[in-house]
Amino acid sequence: MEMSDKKPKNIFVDGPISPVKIGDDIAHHQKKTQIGAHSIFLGQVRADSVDAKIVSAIEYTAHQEMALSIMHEIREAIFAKYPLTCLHITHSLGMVNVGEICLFVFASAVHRKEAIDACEEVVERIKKELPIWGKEILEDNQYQWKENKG
Amino acid sequence: MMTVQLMSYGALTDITGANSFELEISGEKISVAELKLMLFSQFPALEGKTFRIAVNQRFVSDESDVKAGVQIALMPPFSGG
Repeated sequence: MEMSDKKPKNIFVDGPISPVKIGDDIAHHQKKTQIGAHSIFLGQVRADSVDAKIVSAIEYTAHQEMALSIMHEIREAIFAKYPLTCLHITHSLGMVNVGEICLFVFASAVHRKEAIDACEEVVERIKKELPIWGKEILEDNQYQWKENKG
Repeated sequence: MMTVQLMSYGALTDITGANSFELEISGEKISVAELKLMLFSQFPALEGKTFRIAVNQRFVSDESDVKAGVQIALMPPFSGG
């Protein structure tokens, strides 16, 4: 089993997460032949409607140092709780247009249940615990600050 | 007198204007509760907003002390993902 690293890993990328990166990341795991299951979560920016105006993009900002240190603690807790082979997290900063990917969580394990459960728990904890904020950009350059539901 | 550095995030930047600013404080330390009162007096729209305060990247309670040189982050509810 690969243990989580001691030093916080960067999770942030500027702009949207490319589907090519997601494919490449899957391909890079082909040599880890002990893996039997990957669970992947992809968050996509949705064209919500706000007072009859449509969201065209979300601009993400974060307290980066704090987010990385909290993410490190979450990783440690997840590795202690689930027998994962590996766990990769990528979150966008800056502008992400509707239809583009803003969050990529990739959990791999020997068997499916731990991969699925760990992936779900990581997504929930990212949304609740990481100091990241989304500004929903509306048509005609207005905006409103995103609120995470439940 | 002491100076503390503040950063505001998310919707709070609409209230504080700049996302990074300084406050001059008389004395050598104040509590987080006292800091909040100063902020409410400078930015009345902050009062009633939900936000947490971190000092040097650790969340603190109202009773905690704020001393010279610390970095203070004002953080509204998170909305990542």
